[in-house]
Amino acid sequence: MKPWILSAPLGLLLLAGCGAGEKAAEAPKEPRQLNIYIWTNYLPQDVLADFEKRTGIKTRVDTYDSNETILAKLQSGVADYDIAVPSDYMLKALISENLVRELDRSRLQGFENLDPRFLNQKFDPENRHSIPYVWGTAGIGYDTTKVAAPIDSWGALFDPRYKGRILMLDDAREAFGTVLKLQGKSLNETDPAVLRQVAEVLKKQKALVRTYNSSDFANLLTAGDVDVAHGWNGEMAEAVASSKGKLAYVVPKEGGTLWIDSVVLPTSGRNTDAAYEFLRFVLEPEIAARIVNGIHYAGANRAALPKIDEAIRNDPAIYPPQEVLDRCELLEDLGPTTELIDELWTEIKAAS
Amino acid sequence: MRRRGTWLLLLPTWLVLGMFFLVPLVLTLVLSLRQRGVYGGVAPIPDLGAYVTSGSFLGNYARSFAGIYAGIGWRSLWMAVLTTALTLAIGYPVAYALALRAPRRWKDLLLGLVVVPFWTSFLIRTYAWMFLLRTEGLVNRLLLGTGAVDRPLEILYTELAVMIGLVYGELPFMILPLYASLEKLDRTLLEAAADLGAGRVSSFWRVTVPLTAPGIAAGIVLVFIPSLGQFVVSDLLGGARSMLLGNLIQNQFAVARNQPFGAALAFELMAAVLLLLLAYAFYMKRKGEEVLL
Amino acid sequence: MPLSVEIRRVTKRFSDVAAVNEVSLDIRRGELFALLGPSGCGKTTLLRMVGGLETPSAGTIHIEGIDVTEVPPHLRPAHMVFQQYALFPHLTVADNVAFGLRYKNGGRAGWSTKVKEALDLVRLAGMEKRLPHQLSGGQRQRVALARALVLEPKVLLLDEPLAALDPQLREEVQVELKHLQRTLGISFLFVTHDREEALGMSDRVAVMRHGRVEQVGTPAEIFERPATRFTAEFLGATSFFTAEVASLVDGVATLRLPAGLDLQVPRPDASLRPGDRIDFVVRPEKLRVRVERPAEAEMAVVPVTVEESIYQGMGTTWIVRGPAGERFVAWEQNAASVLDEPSALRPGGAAFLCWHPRHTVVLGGGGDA
Repeated sequence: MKPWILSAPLGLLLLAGCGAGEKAAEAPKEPRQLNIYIWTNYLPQDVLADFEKRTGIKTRVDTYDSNETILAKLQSGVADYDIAVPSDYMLKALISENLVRELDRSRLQGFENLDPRFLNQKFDPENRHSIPYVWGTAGIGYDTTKVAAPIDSWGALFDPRYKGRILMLDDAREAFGTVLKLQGKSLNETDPAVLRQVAEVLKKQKALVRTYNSSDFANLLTAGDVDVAHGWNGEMAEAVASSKGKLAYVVPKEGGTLWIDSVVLPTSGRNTDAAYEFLRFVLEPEIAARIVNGIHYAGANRAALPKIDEAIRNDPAIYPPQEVLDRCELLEDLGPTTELIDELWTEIKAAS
Repeated sequence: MRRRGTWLLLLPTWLVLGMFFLVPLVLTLVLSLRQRGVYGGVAPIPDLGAYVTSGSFLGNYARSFAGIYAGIGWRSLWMAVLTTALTLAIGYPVAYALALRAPRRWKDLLLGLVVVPFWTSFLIRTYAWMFLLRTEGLVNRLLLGTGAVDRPLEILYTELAVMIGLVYGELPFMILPLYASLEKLDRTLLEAAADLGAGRVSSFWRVTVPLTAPGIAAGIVLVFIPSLGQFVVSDLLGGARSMLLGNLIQNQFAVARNQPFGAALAFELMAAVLLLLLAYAFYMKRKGEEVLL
Repeated sequence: MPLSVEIRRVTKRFSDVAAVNEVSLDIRRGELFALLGPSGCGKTTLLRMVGGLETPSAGTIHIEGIDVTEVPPHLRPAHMVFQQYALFPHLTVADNVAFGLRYKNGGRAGWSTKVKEALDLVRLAGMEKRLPHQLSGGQRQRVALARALVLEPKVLLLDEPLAALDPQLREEVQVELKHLQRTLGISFLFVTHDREEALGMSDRVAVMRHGRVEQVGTPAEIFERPATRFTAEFLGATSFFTAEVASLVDGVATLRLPAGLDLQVPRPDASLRPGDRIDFVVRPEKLRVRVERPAEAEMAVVPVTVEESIYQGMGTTWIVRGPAGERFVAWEQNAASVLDEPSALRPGGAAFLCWHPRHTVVLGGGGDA
């Protein structure tokens, strides 16, 4: 799926919907509305239906497949999302750009259910703006029948043996991360010289890459269009689980990305009350567990853990052991370097 | 009094043109002359005078002519030319058969079949091509099954796939204007040509083609322009190296957050399209034909 | 006389309908030959078969002695002037005329001379650079003529050559076409539904009906001696009579009309036998309507009632009813002004319809209309 295309008509609906929202303020009898902007495959349909049923709030869900898109969309000023779910480094940027609201902790029940490991991170030190939603890793999914030996290094993505069978995430930070980790550097490197040199490596790598894709990577691997795919663990875990051992997912030995996606309230949203209802809803352990069971990404809700399917809870691809987490690193907002990375990424994508 | 009346009558036209055409155009132009902010948006201009005199306002345009982007421009142009040529090569015989050879009672049905794809979203139809072309897709299974190939063809995520998608998507826009002009063609002219000694081939080139030139021109314009700005097909069917100008522009707005650069590229694309349209209008005027677009 | 076109038992069927049905015709060299008939009679289809634009379902066509039945149009020494001229709108007059030259033997060298000659022939010199839409109807026709004639055909085929022209131009073009045909000495085969055109232009006429040839003859022959009721009617005769052959003596037949009147007709049809029931026709301009019974003994006379008179300036048409209510039409030239000599006939009044017996035309079979 390429959700930006699908989101165009949805966006129009949203615009139409915001007119209706204003009317609702005058005539409270009309159904309340909640506009959610979220990653693809991040909210199971039945959970959403239950929320609507319980609260009587109409929801509209719009999806994206890159953090950069959230920023672009919220910056444009035309979107009026009440809920968004950015990743760590982008959350920092959204906060510094004043695009998200400070949360009123008194309106949130169940905050104590959250796993402290994912609280008070650099990107939002006191969790004044965000509630961790799900977390995970970025690594490599691959077809065990098409590779000589089990993959354990980012080097596989640069291995000429897999020419034309490699998929890269269509995501600047993740793509840069693969090279930086291979070179033993931090994901959050800001030295322009290093970044330019990384970009050159990525440009050369293009000859091996079949396609860049952030929304459908696991499906492409399952369908046999690629053999080695850079991707996030949730969809990969789901694909691995249903592949009867044909596929595997690994966080390379050089270390990978640890990411935490958090729920925030964009300042442009108009339905704050409904948004708080949504926050309280997803903080419920029961609901949090159903979300994890539905999307195969690890949840940040500690109280939900016992309610999560055993197969998922024990899947190392979803809940990696501590030694894997130890070699992972959180992406951080790079401030002014963002511009350089955007520019280099454009050049990489444009190169032939 | 009369003048004012005319003005009032034209007012809605001006309003619509202004709101939906002129204002966005001016906004795009202004945007293209600025520079991006760190996280996107536009950077403030501290000293307008210096900004103008230093030539910074043309920075985005200058950047767009750098090798890598110019390369994308050329590739987009080449793809659009190829798409146009292929749709013409495929569309002309189809339109010819429809207009001049098909039995009258089949005509409406056949013409309907040309239009039927429009009932489904272009996006969905392009997705369908993904399922046809992928490594373990229908086409490959068919080829492998019949023994035509011994290993699957890698079509999806290549420029070939983009080409297939473009030609497929644009074909009706070529066939329809060609059909319209072939339908109008006075068949006694073909008889006259035959009577004067022209064989089928000669009569085709000397009579049919020149007389359907307005349809050919309309088809070329209708196919070439959207192909030049195309980004859906290349995004879905194209691979790592199939980026087109449309994708680059879309990318600047959606992901790279360099709206001014995106605006500059969009403006250049518009200028190219406008030039083409002017050439078309000039050509049609000279032919004494009505400008259809 | 050598034949230009020989059409032998030619049939053309479109699905199940025979548009042309077993037609045989000979067109002589240097003849101006008209195919006359109402629309749908098959005349255009026959012309197109001669031109090669249609292939006969059966039968053969020879041009200048060569069987061309299966020969494609451009290899026949016959070229066509289409009804709407079918000039190529994107080509200049000169290019239109030169269109067919490249398919002829002989190099490019002679083209411009030939084009010039052809345009001179049709008096279009100086128009070379014009486009068809810049020409008048008459000029366009002349371009079409030049375009066909430049190829030096042995037969020129013309489909309704005057139909697309303004009425006032037609007479002039008729004369011009005749003149052109005489000058070139080739045969012209043309199709028309207009009897004046057929009579005025052609050396011989074939009248066609329902895909068959009804009668072939000179204009005067088909006009004065129509063989069938259809031909007679198509050429404007409307007064038909039935009679019985009372006797045949010395080449004079006595015909007895139902009203008991006898009339003596010279040079009767050889096939007539006493006792036969026959139809005959008298052309309107041969009929007279008189208040008094005419004195001349040999005149055929039928008592009638005047129904209507139509004053047409040059003449007057009289519509009268016979003894059994039959409708007859007479046309009389107004040789004298009706103001000086007003007619004594009044609608509703009794009168006598009379004609000279030699104008009696006995009709043959096929007159079933």
